[in-house]
Amino acid sequence: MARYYELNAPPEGFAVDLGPGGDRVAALLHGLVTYLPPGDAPHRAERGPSAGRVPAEMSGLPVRRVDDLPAAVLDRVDPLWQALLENRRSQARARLRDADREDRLELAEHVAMLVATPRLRPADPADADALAMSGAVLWLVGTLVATALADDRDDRLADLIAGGWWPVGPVDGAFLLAPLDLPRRPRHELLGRSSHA
Amino acid sequence: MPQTLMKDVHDAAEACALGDEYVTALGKIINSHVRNEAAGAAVFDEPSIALAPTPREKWLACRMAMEEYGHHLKFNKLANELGLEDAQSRPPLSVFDYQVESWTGYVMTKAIVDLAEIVLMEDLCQCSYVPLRRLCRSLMPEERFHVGFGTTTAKQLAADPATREDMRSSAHRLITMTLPFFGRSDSRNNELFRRWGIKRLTNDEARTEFVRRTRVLLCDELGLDYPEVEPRWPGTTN
Repeated sequence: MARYYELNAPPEGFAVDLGPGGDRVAALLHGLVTYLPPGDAPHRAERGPSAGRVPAEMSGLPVRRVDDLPAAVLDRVDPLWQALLENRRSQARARLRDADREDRLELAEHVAMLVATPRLRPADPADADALAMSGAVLWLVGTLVATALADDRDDRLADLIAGGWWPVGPVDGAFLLAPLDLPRRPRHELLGRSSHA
Repeated sequence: MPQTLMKDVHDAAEACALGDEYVTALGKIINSHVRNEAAGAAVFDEPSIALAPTPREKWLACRMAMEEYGHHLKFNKLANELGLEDAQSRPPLSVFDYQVESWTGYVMTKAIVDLAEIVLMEDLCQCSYVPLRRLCRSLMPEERFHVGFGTTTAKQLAADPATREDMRSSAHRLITMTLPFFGRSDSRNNELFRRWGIKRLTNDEARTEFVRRTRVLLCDELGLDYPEVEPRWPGTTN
């Protein structure tokens, strides 16, 4: 496996190296690169998420866009939805293992981690809420990398990330979407704003 | 002990110019971090994501797992620049034999094992090898957050009689298992590290500092007793 220590974007030929589903993994990571500034750059909302890619409903629930997520809302994300995604991830990983593509999964996860983790580093390294949000996006990206490689088919969650959205999940009867760069935004910029758009 | 190296060593070429002894000593420190940061992510952090009781805690565990893996890669980059052997062929430290079986157990790994890492890294923040010094300084905010997460969550768990005993037994086991982390009391390696200005503390000094800080955590902040431990470690570490 190619050894990378730092990456600003997926390396050249990455999609081809991954084989089936590689284009989808690359598109997902290019979404992160497009909508999140590099890890060492100060955050600037240069490009907002693509409004044209927002569905009216997700998981049978109406979609609601939010500009901020207080910690209490994070804790109300439906645990069944989380469990469903974790199950999808473990099944995808098992299928890749059975198909002798574990090394491709390892490469995809390694590159995803290198591209995503610094781009999702909060402005304040001690901001636990922002770190939790960052972890939520990383958790979802990790899941979608595995399912893209194993299934090689359209996925609405992956499309949303590629369009600059973070699909937070079902909360209180709605499916929440937040801007992908929310974990990066300095918290003082969010103060005083309405929590729902 | 002969005189300590007082000057800064700015890059791999300067390190190599100082001779094999310096590069070998530096390599032992860097490769230990390469191996053990990866072990921490794989053995403690990743499996614990599934143990988190709330979504927010699950995602925090995920973020911390990614950060630990990132630390592994950053040390690996330094190892690569110095042309060091592959650290992954070596076994990790024995503390990683600890089995995380509960969320409480995981929280205590962050409060205790990551605190040991901070004690070591604080020393390396003065290291003569500038790339290692800079790396350790850059990683401190993340390491401090991990320990802060462990400490804050441990205080919440300590207030719950249902988790208190699990926390106590995890803490005692982890403290006992972490003491060898700092190396033997009469370590020839540590003597070299200090001679070359890579470290400032003896292994026993670092271990004593770890005991002091974990005693504050357990006894003053969590209201627990402290295990009986020896500040010296005559054995060998793996």
